[in-house]
Amino acid sequence: MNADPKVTRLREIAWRRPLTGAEQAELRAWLAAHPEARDEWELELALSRVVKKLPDAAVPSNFTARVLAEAQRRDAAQARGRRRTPAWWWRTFLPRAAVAAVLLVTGLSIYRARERGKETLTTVREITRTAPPPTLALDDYDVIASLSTGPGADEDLLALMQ
Amino acid sequence: MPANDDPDAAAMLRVKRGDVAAFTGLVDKYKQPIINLAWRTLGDPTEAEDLAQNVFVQAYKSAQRYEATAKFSTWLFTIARNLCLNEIRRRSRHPAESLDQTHEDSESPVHQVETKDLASSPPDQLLRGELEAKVEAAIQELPENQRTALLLCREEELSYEEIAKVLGCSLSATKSLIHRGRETLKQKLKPYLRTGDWSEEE
Repeated sequence: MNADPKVTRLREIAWRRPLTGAEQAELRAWLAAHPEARDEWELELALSRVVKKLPDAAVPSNFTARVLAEAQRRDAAQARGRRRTPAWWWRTFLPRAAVAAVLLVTGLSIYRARERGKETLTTVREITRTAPPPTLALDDYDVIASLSTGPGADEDLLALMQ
Repeated sequence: MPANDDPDAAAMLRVKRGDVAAFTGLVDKYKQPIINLAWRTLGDPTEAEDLAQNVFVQAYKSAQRYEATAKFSTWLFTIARNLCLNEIRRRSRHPAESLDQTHEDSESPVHQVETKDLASSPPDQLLRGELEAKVEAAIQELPENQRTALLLCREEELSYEEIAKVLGCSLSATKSLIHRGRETLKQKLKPYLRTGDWSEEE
């Protein structure tokens, strides 16, 4: 691309629209001084004309009516959505709330069961740690078992004290 | 043009207040360039119509949030380009659906030009039809951003600055895209452009 600002400006104009008489004169003057660029400019201008003349796509005659109908249909659907009754809201919300509650209760139960399990385990460990070794505890079992339970209450003394 | 002086932005503000006639006026004004852009981007007239319909429906739905911070045409073409890009991405994700294109290709801009113009008898019409078909084919082969830049360049409504906004790039990058697109077209179409039919103003 030529770096001459004047040519760059003319080129950018030619991309958008046909050059005016004054612009064409300006270009002719420039090309007279730069004949080597003439060929390139002819291609440039021809391409601009070709691109400008590309045929338009076919537009259906009812396009605007279709757009309006679709826009209003979607608008109405959106408005219906906003106007939904509380009954609808509850119908949608209640099953979800019930499922959420069941999940919550189940989760809580599982958590508490685990916590209880942990507590039991801790207690057993504590007892195991503090209790005497089983062999020592059972050493004098027979002797202890054979001891008498001792004298009974002195019934006469109790009667006197009353 | 500042958005405040844009009659289309003013019309859109009326649409925001519920003026349906203002909306139909905007659709009538922009339906042709929007369908043209969609047609040359997607290559299928039915899809182009559907997409253009979606562009206007989105504009209508967005009316309540519309702020005239930019020109209406810039805003509308940005919606159109985004929907075109979404469609291109959707096609690339579901290539199987693109197989449908093969039988619909008969309605692509390239083929429509061929059937419309080559059927008529005069030789100059034949030549013109052939050239138009070649131009359409060459445009279709351009990368998306170059093609869109070139097609938006045809729209007198849009300045270079506004085309840059639609494309989401700088002014210099936009001009570079147009330049590169045109250079590719010139290379491909050189033999056709050199025929007298196009080298002179009609």
